[in-house]
Amino acid sequence: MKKQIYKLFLSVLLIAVAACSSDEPDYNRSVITPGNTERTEFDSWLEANFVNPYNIAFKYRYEDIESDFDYYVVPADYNKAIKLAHLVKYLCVETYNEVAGVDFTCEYFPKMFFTIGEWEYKNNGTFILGTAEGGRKILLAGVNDLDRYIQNANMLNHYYFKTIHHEFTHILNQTKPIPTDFQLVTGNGYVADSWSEEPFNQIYLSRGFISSYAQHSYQEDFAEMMSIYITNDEASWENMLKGADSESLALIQQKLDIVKSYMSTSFGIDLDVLRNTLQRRQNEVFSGKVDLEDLTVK
Amino acid sequence: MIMKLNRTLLYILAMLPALLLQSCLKNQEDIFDAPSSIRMQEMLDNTKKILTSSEEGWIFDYYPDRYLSYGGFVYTVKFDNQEATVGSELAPGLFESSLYKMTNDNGPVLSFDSYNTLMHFFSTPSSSHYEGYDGDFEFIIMEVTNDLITLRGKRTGNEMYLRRLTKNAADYINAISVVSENLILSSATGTVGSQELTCLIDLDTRYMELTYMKGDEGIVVGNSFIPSETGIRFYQPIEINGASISELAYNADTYTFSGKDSAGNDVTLTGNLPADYTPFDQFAGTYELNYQYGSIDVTLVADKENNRYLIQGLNENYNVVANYVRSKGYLNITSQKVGESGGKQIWLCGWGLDAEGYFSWSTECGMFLVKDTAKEGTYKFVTNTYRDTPADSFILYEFNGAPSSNTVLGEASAPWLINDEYRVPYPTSIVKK
Repeated sequence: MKKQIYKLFLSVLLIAVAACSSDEPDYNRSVITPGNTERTEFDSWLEANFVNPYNIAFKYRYEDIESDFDYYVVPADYNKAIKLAHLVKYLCVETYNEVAGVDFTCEYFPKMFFTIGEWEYKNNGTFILGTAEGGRKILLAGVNDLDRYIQNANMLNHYYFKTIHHEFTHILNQTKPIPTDFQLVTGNGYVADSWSEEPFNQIYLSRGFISSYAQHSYQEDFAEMMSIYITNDEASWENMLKGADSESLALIQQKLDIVKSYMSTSFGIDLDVLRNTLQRRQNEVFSGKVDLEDLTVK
Repeated sequence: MIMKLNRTLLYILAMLPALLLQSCLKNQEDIFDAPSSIRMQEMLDNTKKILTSSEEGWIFDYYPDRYLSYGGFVYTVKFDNQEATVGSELAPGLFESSLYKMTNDNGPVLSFDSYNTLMHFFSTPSSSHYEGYDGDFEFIIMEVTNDLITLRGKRTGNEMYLRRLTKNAADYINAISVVSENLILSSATGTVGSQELTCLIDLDTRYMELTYMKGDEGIVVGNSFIPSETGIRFYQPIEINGASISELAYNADTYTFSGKDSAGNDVTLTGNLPADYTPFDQFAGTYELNYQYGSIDVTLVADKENNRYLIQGLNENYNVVANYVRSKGYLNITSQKVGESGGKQIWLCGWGLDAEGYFSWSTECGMFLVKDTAKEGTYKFVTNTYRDTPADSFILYEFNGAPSSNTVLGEASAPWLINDEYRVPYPTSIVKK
């Protein structure tokens, strides 16, 4: 009885599987359409410099699905996006290549950049410089203002590149966790979303933080420490710490030491070498050694 | 226990055929002969083909802002396979190219996906306008015919049109500028068929409002408009007594709107001008020009073709040009070259005696002649407030070639003087003789 039931069951299932087998798909016709947008010269350059070597997508044209509907945004200017892509390549991608090797860049560097022309303005007059999602995608805003900042390292870092290094640090942290002792240095100093409010936005230095945003959480603190350290040369780093008392200086130094040892033990990167390399490359950009508009594919 | 399991299995077995037989019972016919993605692609390909097929491009009736707070603005767009070349009445003569694409997110979409200062003017945000002017740069394609493409803004939901352009885009934009410059009325009265109506026109929001009486009841209807080559076109037709008006022609000489409603009735609206408005022709005549040093007899001669007057009598060697400002009904006398001798140029310059004595050779600096509503036949001199140099006087200066701060030679001398002086301080009025 039992056996028969199972046999019956099996045969019914077989029928069921076979039932619609005549509904063949048309193998000669794909339903995936290629679109009718023509490739630009920049597309070819990106393919040769971002896609093929690193599998990085640099989206310079507006796509509504990549943008944030909470803000009124506009597309990036074509020519300015070209310059920015060159800068990302020269100041970020190739800096890490030089310091840590191409494999490191391929493995960890963010896989997508999306550019928009203006900042993401809020209705209180403030605006967002850039964001990162899931350690994979980085939004670069304000591309159309690039020419205003391109000659000034501080501005360029403030508006575009600190964000990239900051978000990149998060990605590294997702691979190798932040050491526990880092969390303990200023463990009860983190204030979450109050970081931008008074008094925290004024007194962060005396509380042992390198920036206002570093007070958000130890993860942000870590990313701020690293990104601010490498985008500033020694003089401006010292300048930043001016006015801090010895106690808070010690806290910042203690955290910096942990960041340095984290980078060297986990990824074999000497943070000072990274900083010097980045500073050297920045100077090469400002001295005009790098052609930011050249689209020839070598 | 086993029995129970068996029975459950049996029940399931009994039910299965009921479900399975159903599945292939009907051979469902495809409603469309191609998959949706292919049909979408065909639609986009076809639209792109039509867009690129227009040699002169398209007129784009662009309406920013979901509440239509600014009315419509005329753009022109010419498409090639990769780029769109955009012109606009915002900046006549300027054309800028940027990328565009056809894509499918909210249905078929035309997207201007790289920055263009004209196309993205209304959508560009700033600290003070975080929404920009609530303009669109992505448009859902609603309907496509060979000469008219209906679009809907993705942000605003406003309906907009691309109309095939058959003349040069720059000429079209210029024609539009002339029409919108001539649109100066703030109110008008007239009729639709036998129905009397009054009309208010807000030029800043490009909105026309019509009021008429139906029995004892006053009815107000209105809509946003956009300038067209002949007059204005409404965002949506205005309904009056069951018939609709979609566009009106405008005659700048008679200040009259005219057209027909959908029932074939004539529409005529005649404008009421501001009190100090002077129609072009009325400036002609002989006047006494009064200024600090006395008075001079001058004659204003119309140069209708160039939309200006020539002022004769200030110096026998030259006439001074006064441009007609149609939007205001003023004459505008600005810095201008009055003569040339041996490489030197002699200029009549706007001079701000009360503005620390600076003078300017900018052809925008100068003074208006405005009708004095208190005295018939009198026109007052009023500064046209050019930037830092609001002129209240004029001065004759000599330059070594074209005027610039490097070519200033000094005060002009005979035979270029006015009333034997290089200065014309504080002109007050011209009075008809």
